[in-house]
Amino acid sequence: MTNIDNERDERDASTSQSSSITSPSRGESGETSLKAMTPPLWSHPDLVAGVLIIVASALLLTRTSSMPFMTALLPVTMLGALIVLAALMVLRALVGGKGNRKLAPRFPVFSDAKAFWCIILAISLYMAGVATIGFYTSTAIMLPVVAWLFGYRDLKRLLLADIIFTGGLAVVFVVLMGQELPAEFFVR
Amino acid sequence: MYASLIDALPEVLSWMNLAAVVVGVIAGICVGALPGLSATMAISVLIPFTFGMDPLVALGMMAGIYNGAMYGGSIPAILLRIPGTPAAVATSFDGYPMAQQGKGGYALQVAVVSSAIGGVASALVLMLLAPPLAKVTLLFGPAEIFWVAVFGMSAIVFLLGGDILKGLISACFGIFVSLVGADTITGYDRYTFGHLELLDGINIVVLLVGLYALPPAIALLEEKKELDTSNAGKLNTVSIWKAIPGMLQYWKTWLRSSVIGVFIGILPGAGGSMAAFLSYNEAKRASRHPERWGEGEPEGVAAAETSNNADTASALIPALTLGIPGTAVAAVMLGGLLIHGLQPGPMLFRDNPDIVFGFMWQFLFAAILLIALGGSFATNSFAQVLRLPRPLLGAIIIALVFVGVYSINGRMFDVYLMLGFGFIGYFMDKLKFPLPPVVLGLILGGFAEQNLRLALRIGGGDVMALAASNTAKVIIVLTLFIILTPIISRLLRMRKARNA
Repeated sequence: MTNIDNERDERDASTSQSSSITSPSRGESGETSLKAMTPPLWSHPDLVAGVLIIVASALLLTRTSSMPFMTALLPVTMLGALIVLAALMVLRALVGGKGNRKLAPRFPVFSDAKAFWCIILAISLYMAGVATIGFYTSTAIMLPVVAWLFGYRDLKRLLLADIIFTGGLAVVFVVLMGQELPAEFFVR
Repeated sequence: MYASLIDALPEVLSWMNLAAVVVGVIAGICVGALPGLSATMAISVLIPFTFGMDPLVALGMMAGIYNGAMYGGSIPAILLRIPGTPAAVATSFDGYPMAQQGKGGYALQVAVVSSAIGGVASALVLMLLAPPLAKVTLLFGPAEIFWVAVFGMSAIVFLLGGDILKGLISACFGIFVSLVGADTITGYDRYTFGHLELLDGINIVVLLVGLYALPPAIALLEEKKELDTSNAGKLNTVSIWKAIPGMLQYWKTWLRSSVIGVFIGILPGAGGSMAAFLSYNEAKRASRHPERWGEGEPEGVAAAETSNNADTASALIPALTLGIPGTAVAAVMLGGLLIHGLQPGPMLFRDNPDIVFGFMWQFLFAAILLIALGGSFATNSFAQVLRLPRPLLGAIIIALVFVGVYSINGRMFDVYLMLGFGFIGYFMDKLKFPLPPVVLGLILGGFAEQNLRLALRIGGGDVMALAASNTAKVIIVLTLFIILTPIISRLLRMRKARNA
C-alpha cells in the first residue's frame, strides 16, 4: 500500500462519510437523520482491530513468564510494542471518530459479507474434502462447483477447464515432480 | 584468474550445456510463476536427478532455474497481485496497477528486461570481483548484520508511506510470527502450542501465500461484476526487442538497483526480498515523481526486478569463495556442488577452475536467455490467465495455493495455517494495514534476533558492543536517516501549511 493509495482511500472514506453526514437537511429532522446514519463509535474497524490486537498480545504475553530471559526478550518487546501501538490506534479511532474523521477514516470491511462467508465455507469444505477424498477428486469437484456458484455458467467450458487444470496439475506434480499429494479415496 | 575464465568458455558453449541452461530457465519461470513453489524447492528436487550428469550440465540447470524463478515470480505478481516468490512482493506494488490499466504486457516486458539486466550485473560481479567482494562479507559480524536487518525493516515501514502506525503494527506482527518455533540458541519452544509442526518455525511461503494469494482469490469470487473477457489476455505489446529502446530511460534505476542487489546478495541471510524492497524505496526516493509510485509506475517494476535478480549470482560469492551459504538457495546449490565432488571454499578456484568459471558463465547466459525465453514464451503464455472468467480464476487460485503450500512439507497443517493467514491478510488488506512489512518482518525477524543475541554474547552482554564497529555506526546513522526523513518532512509540510 503506497502513500498515494492511502491518501486517496482516506480522502474517499472521509468524503463518503462527510457526504453521508452533511446530506440531511438542517434542523431537527436533519440532526435525527445524522444520528441515525452515523455508525456507532464502538463499531469503528480500527477500534475493534486495536482491541483485538491488545487482547491477543496480552494473552500471548502471559506465556513468556516461563521462558528464559533471552528467549523471551524479543517476544516481550514485540508484544509490548503491539499493545502500545494498538492502544494508540484505538485512541486515534476514538478521537477521530468524535471529531477529526480524517485522522481515523472508516474503511468498509466487506464488499459482500454473505459472499465472503460462502467463500470461506467453500474453501473449508475443499480442504476437508482434500483430506478425506483426495486432492485430485476434490479439485475436480470444487473447480466447476465454485465457478458455477459464483457466476460462471458456461458448463461446457467449465468442464473443459476442469479437465485441463486438474490434468495439468497431475502431469506436473505426479509425472514431472513425483510430488505426493493427499491420496485419492479409491487408491488408499 | 581471468585466463581461467576465458578457458572455461568453450566447454560452456557445448550444445548440451546450453540446452541445460535453456531447460533450467523455462522450468524456473514456470516454478516461480506458481505461488508456493520456489527456486530452492525446484533445485532440491533436481539435485538427486543430476547425480549421474556432467557437473556443468547439472550446474547449468541450477543457474537457469534460479534466474528463471526470480523472474517467474513477477508474472503472477503483476497479473494478479499474487507474488510467485517472496522477492516479487515489491514488483506487485506498481506491476499490478499497470495490469489493471491494461499495461500488463509492458509491465512484464519491463520485468523481464530488468531481471535480465540484474542477472547480468550479478553474474559479471561474480565473475570479475568474487574474491575481493568476499572480504566485504567478513566486515559484517553479528552486530552489523543485526543493524542491516533493522535498516531493512525501517526502510519498508517508513519509506513505503501511508499509515506509519499501521505499518509498525504490521512489522511487529511479522517479527512476532518469525519468533514462533524452537529458539535456535536455547531450544525452548515459543508459541508452538504443542504442535510439532511449528518447532521449525513458520515457513515464509505459507505466510506469503496466505497473505497475498487468498485475499485476491476471495476478491475475485466476491465481486460479481463484468464477466466479459473478450479483451483480456491481449497484452497489446510490441515485440520485446522493439520495446527495449524505450526502456533505456530506466538506466539509472537499473544501475542503482543492481548495486543494491549485488550488495545485499553478498550479505549472509539478507536475500532477494530485502534487495527488492530497498531498491524500490531508493528508486522512489530518487524519482522526480514519487507521487506516481504505487499507481502503475514502470520504474517501480524495474527497480524491484533488477535487484531481486542482481542478488542471484552475488549470493553465491560467499558460498563459492568462503563456503558460507548466505541464503537457502545458495545452501542448496552448495549441496549440488558437493554431490559432484566440488568442495566450496578458496581451493575451489584453484582445483576446479573449468567448472567454477563455467558455472559463472552459465549464470551470465541464463540471465541473457531470460529476455528471449521470458519475453516471448512465458509472458504471452501466462498472460492468458487474464482471459479466464473471474469465478473460474478464483477457484483455480484456491487449488494452486493449496498444492503450492502442501508440497512444501507434504502436510495439511501448513494448509490450515495458510488459511489462517489468508483470513488475517484479508482483514489487514481491507483495514489498510500494509502487508509488505509483515513479510519483511518474518524474513528478517528471526535473522535479526539470532544476530542480536550472538552480538550480545560476543560483547559479554554489553549493549554498546552493538555499535562498536565503524560499519555498525554507519548503518545506525543510515537507519536514523531513514526513520527521521519522513517525520521531519511531514512536520515541515504541516508547518508550511499552517503558515500559508
